[in-house]
Amino acid sequence: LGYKALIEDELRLINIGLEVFYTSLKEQGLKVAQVNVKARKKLEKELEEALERLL
Amino acid sequence: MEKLSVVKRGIYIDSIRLMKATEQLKRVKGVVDAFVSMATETNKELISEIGLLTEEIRSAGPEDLVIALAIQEGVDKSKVLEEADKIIFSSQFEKKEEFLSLDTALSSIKPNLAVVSLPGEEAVEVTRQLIIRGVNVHLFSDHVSIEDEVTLKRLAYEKGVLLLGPGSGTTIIKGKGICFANNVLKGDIGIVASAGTGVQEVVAILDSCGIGISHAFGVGGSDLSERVGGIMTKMCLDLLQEDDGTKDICIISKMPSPSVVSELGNFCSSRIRKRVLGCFLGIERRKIGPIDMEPTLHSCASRIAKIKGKRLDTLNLSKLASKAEALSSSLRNERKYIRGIYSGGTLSHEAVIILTKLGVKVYSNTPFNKSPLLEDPRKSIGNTVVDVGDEIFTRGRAHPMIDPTIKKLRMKEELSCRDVAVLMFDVELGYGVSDNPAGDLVSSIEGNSGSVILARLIGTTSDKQNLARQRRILEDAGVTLCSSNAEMVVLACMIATRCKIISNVKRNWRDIFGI
Repeated sequence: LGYKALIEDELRLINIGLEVFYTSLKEQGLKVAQVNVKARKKLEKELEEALERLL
Repeated sequence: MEKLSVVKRGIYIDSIRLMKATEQLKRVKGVVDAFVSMATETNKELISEIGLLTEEIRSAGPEDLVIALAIQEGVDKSKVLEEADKIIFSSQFEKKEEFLSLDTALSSIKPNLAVVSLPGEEAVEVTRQLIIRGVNVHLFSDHVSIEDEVTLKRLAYEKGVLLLGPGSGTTIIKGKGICFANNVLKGDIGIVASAGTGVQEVVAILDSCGIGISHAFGVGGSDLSERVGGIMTKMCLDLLQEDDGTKDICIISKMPSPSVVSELGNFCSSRIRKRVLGCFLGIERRKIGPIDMEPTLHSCASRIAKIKGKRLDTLNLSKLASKAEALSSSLRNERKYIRGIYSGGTLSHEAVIILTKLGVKVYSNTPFNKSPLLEDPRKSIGNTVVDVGDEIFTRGRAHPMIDPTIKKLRMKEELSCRDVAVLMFDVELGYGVSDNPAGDLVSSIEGNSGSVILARLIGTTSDKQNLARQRRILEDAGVTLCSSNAEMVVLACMIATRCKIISNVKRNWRDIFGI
């Protein structure tokens, strides 16, 4: 089961939200990536607006 | 002095970066005061409190970033604003591995744990997607409804993954800290907790006497509620049962639902073959199934230490009474109340329980049993204990362990009251918090005109902030430090009552300290 991997395998993380947690995980030498879903939403909104203007 | 404000529409930067920018901006030549934040209602109230609210800021919304400044007369405004932009936006371009799509991140990293700290409503959907894809989640966010929590945890159970949270402040896996966690010794004590600062308090006390832990899983404050039924607590107990590196298990929680406690006792009887200790704040010392219950975090740590053949620092009633007498000797007669301002919900809950046990009437925004509710959590009455990490204070703001602004303002306010005998507060070191948590708070106690100030500094000698330095900062500011939250509360009580409650303390000593 997936939850056993937490203590059996090496930790591989993604951080979604506050970057202070990304930084602290990175400081500990962990494999971690930041996922910026807000930036994607903003980008999608901007693209949508740009498309609306074009059409 | 004049006010200067700018609203940047539709720009989002997280509150920690903005808090750092605020501090940097205050040091810019010509700037008297500064506040940079997203324009949430809570933040607008704070801006108003420090006198920097303008019409422009009032009209801004939570999607907008605002810069509120007080500058000296005659200062070049454009230069100040240029400097502000540099400070706020330069940190946005630090190099980091970043994805804009969850799917891409999942296929590239193949994570076995996701840390989610988005605002509540967004967090629920992202967490659901992660669970469906078989990823364990540490959900730091609060403002998640109990219905959503139940649905998500049932889904996680079906998928065989953990959902640690919502509102989970601390998890430690193989020595690695997730969110707020101390750098602790490795050992064979496994912890499951629905109490973030409760874990930090216990592991820090254990670390100070050379005892380490294998893992600590924070399952969120509601996991042992009737509705959730301890789904994740049980999964974590199973995990610790199977873990060869864990010899003894400790469950820490705020007051859980009585039926869940009894069910947990049965669960441990049938499934767990290791020694299990428990500290469910509000439940007295007794046995529930195979679980040996301890009433406070201090007594729980003391019990573990005893099992491991160690002893906590010697604490005794006469020493504490002498300390209380010395500290209260210069207090004016009208100073008779205790004010506890906590970032840690579990610590604040424990404070209310101990004070009530000692016969002190205490108001709180997180009351216990018959203790009265503080109707307006923003205003103290008599003896008051406030958890400023409670949801009412964190809507639209980061938790006070990350951004202590609300806590600082409240501490300052308490110290301005002429009837306050003791101000007590907590300071947490470790991963996820600032480089100088003690330094961040001391400015709020400058100018104290006659209250005794106590603090519980939770940290280990391996924490990055340098425990000795943090201790020195607080002591130099006139703060008396205590070896546990329980000690701080009892000492506060003895100071405020000028030791009149000493017989109550004596009667409850073993319950509170376990020695």
